[in-house]
Amino acid sequence: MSTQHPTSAAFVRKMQQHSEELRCLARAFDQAVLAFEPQKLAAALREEKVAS
Amino acid sequence: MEFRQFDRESYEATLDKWRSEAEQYDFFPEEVERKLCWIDNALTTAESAVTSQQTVIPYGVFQPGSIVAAATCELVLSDRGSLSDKWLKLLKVTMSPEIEALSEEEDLAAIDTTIHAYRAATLGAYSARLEHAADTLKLFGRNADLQRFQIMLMAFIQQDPEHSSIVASKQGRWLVLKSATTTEECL
Repeated sequence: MSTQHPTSAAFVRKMQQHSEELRCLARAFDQAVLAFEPQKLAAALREEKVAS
Repeated sequence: MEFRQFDRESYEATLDKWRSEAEQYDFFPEEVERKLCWIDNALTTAESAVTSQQTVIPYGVFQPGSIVAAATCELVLSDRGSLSDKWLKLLKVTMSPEIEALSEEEDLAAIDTTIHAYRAATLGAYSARLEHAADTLKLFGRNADLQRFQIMLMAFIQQDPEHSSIVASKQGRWLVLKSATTTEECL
């Protein structure tokens, strides 16, 4: 095992990388909502009604 | 908004609140119980430590500090052995009766809450996949509108030149998200 990269440093690096991924996903999500129109997404998430 | 797992206390508080909202907004309280009974089942299964290839994990989206969920998020962990065969699936996001009723009336605050809840569910589930030792998150598109939204989400994820670490792909009704780095490390 390498002593240059202790477990804690590897963990911090992994978490930093994970935070970057989440920021990227958050930005992509916001763009997609704007492009799709929020009302449409809200409607898509609503419970589908069964016609009586 | 906070994305976190349900426990008995938050489940019962949510059930009580959603029942009273159902009465207030002319839904059937029994329908609320039907919508939430999977959480009760999942908590009971977890308490009895039954293991399965498909474990249902009940998550919710909560206002900060609240134990009443604004939305429930049905997550399933599919475990077929190795890490590459372990997926976290976000099957369904269900809004509270009040938010659902107000969204139908095109109340902008309720629509905003719905968007934020879905955002918290998506980002939270992507983050939670690591806690459950899964490398992949799959989002289920249960209707045509949601699938169209997912295609758009995938397009934005893929066009981001700065961060290519998230790999998104469409597989039938599923939007599949994984980290390119994780994928490389697994190879």
